[in-house]
Parts: sequence; C-alpha cells; structure tokens
Amino acid sequence: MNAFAADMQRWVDLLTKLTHTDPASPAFHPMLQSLRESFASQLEVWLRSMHPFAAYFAVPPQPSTQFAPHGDGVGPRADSSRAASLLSDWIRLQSQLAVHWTTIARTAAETFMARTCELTASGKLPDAQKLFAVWIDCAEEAYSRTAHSQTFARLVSDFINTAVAIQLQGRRVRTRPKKIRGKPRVRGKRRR
Amino acid sequence: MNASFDNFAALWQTISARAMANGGSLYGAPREIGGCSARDAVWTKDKAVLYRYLPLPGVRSARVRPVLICYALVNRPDVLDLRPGRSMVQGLLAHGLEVYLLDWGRPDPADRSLELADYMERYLDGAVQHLLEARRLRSLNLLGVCQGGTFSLCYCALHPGHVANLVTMVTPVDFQTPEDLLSKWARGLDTEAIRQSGNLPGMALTGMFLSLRPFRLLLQKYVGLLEQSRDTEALDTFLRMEQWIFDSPDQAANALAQFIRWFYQENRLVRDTLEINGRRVALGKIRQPVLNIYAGRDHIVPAAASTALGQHLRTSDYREVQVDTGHIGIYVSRDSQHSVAATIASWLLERS
Repeated sequence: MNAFAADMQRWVDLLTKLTHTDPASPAFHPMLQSLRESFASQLEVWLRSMHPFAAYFAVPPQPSTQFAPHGDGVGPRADSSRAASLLSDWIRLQSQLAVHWTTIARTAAETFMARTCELTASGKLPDAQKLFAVWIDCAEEAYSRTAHSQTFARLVSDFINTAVAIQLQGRRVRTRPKKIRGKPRVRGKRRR
Repeated sequence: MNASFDNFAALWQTISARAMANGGSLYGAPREIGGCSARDAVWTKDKAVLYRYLPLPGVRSARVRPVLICYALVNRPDVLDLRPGRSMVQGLLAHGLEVYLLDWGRPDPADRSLELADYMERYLDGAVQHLLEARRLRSLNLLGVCQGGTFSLCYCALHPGHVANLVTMVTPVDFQTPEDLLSKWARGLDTEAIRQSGNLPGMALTGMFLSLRPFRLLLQKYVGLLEQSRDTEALDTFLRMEQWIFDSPDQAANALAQFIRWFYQENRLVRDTLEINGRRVALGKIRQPVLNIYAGRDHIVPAAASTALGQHLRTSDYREVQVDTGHIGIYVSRDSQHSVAATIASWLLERS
C-alpha cells in the first residue's frame, strides 16, 4: 500500500508541476515531453508488476524445488523435459506480454500528450485531478484496443493455460515419488 | 487545485489507517461483509442456504408470490444487501415483496466435482421445491442476477411450471458479443486442465475481472475516493465494496470448466444446444413473463449480451429495461436501488 501511495504521489507531483506551469512559457513543452516519457515508463512498470491476471498467474513454481526429481532421484526424465518446456513457454509468453505493455504505455502517453496540447491550446488545461482522469481515459483506451485484439486474447489464454499446466505438472511431480517408491509391503497378517 | 489530491500519499495513509481501525481491509485478507437486513435461514442443502428476509416494519405486504433471488457463483451475494440505503434487498422489501435469497456457499476441495447440473437441479431446484411446499404454492417469482440469471433462465426452461414470472438482471445470454472482453479471453482456455487443476481460487477470478479495466479499477477508483474521504457514509460504502470485490469464493473446478466451455466457448444457450442432466435447455420454451434489466455501461456483461435474450424467447410478455450504470452500480448505486427495485415491484404487481 505504501508503494502504491508513493507511486501515486509521483504521478500527482508531475501533473501538479505541469498545471502550475504557464503553457506560454518555453519550459512548458519540454516538460510535457519529459512527462510523456516518464508516464510511459511508469505505466509500463505498473502493467508489468500490477496487472491483475498477470500478477496472479505469473508466479511459476521454482524449477529447482518443484520440478527436480525428488528423494531417491528416480524421477522420470519426461517430467524434467516437460517442466523445462513449460517454463520456456512461460518465459516466451511473458516476453510477448511485455511487448504489449510497452505498446499500451507508449500509445497512452502519446494520446495523453495530444489531448493535453489540445486542452492547452483551447485554454482549458484542467487541474491535476482532472488531468489525471484524462490520463486514465487515455490508458484505458490504449489498453482496450490491445486487449480486444485476437492476438492479445490468444496470448491471455495461452498464458493462463501454461500457468495451469505448470501447476499441474508440479503436482504430478510432487506425487510421483510416492508411486515410484511404493509403500513398504507387509507380508503376512497385519498386526492389530 | 484540489488540496487533497496534492497530498495524495498522506491522505491515502489516513484512509488506510481508518480502514484498518474499522476492521476493514483495502488489500488484506477480506472479511465477509454479510448483509445489513435481518434474515432467517429456512433451508439448507450441503453448503447452499436459503434465506428469508424479514419484512420491514410498517411495510404492508404486496401480496404477490415470493421472490427468490438466484445470485452468481463468482461473487458473494452480499452486494445485494451492502448497507442501508445501498441494498437491493431492502428496496424490494420496501415495496412489500417477500424476498428469499439462495446463497450457494463457498466451495472447498470436496466440491471440486460439482457440476452445473448440481447447482441448478440440486440446490436451485431444492430451494424452489422447499419454498413452494412451505408456502403451498405452485409457482414463485424468480430473480436471477448475473450468472444467476443465466441459471434462472436454464431453470425456467427446465421447470416452467415452477416459475410464474422471471426477472433477469445483468444476465449474460449471448456469450460471444463483440464487446465481451471476458469472452474473448476465455475462448482459448483449456477447460480440461482447469478441471484437473482443482478449484480455482477466488483471487484468480477477481484478477480477471479487474484486468478488464485495470486503470479505472485499480488506480482511478482510489483517486476518486479522495473526493469522498471526509464523508463517513461514502467511505463505509467504499470499504464494504472493496471487501466484497476481494472476497470472491473459490470456484468448483468441474462446474467452472463446464461454464467456460458450454457458455463462453460454445455459446450453447443461444445455439440451442445446451443440455443439463441430459435435458435440453431451450430458451424458446420459456413462456412466462420476463423482465430483463441490464446496465447500459456494463463492462462485464455488455448490454448486447443481455438483450440477446429478446431474440430467443417466445413469450408474448417480454420487457427490457436499461439502467444507465455499470455492472455493479445496478445493485449498489443509490438511484438504481430505488428505480430498479420499484421497476421490479411494479412489474410483478401488474402480474400478480
């Protein structure tokens, strides 16, 4: 929560600084340019770390603990190979998602720049809170364009499917050693 | 310049501290908010509980059949009774309606094999049968909300004699409309793997819902809170909503896999290919009066996904009502609580 508050405060400070600068002054446009870069990078970081489904499904089990053969080391090689393949898929999908986050962040920042310039030209530059709402609109629009695309929808499904498969594989490996070792057989009658 | 926005971080800390002191939680483990209206449990089956809400003092009975609310599996029904002044249940009670609610409970690993048929034929039908017997009635009024509306449509088609009038609220019917983002994301999911992996944690589902509009739901909402931060009632409503949002129950694996596949991926309800317990569910068999209430700005169940119902029913008594709000606002906004409850009550009264 503190991290969230600090991030938000940075955004607010940037917006406030902009709204306190005279649009006619030579400092205004360079400041807007630097805001664009900073907004884009902050948004990208936010998407990478905070995006809700990515955050939930993006924590793969640690290969060293969950996928390694357990106990006596008799774990089937097929398990390791399958685990490696899933992890490689997962990393590939993560990097594909990252490309989309970059696109969304850049598009949002570009649109925000354009809208802020329009507002400035018409002499209607709002206060920081309203400007923040404009920024959110731009971010949602950029996100929506990407999120509705077939490529992104497929990526979301693949991402979740891979995360679920990793989970299932981890469970399979964890339960396998018992099957391999088997329970000690008791010959003769059971003691009561 | 709004002074509170200038000092966002400090104010956020104050709000958080107050939330914690009040036992609320913005990000921590949520506590069930329960409801604000008095109610009695009148029937149970496994984890499902049928509640009867007590009439409001001084309100005369409208003398219409009881209204049974069938809510979704994906969230807790507490949102229908969030707090006084923000309660759909109280809105209905204020019109003299006799209100019942079927609470599905919270599935645990023992419920992973439950099927959609169990929810519809064991729990919903069980609650309906109990109510009909207890009240010596042949039929009741069914009010289905969101996914519960989809179940209510199926139930109505399978047991037409038990339902006198059907009300659906923000109910998905066509699961593949162009604006339906959730549907686009769900179409490629491996439902067999989902079934095998066990119950889906509620947080995963919450994450999916928040992902539909992440900036509004995870950033702007909290900034918007600044405007209400000194309004105790608004803050209380906000915290209750937060608790509710982050309190999605786990989803029974088998039923969830069936729901994704049959509805989102195969769109069986509108393609007339849905079967529950081997019995075909045909929307065309619904001849009861149907009131379909949907939200014009719904990002979870787009308006077109709900209004598709009109094209598939054969009833001569079908009415659609659009409410200018979002998926959640339809239950909790002050305006819609009054207008939606009044619409439902008057529509039922006209058909009593």
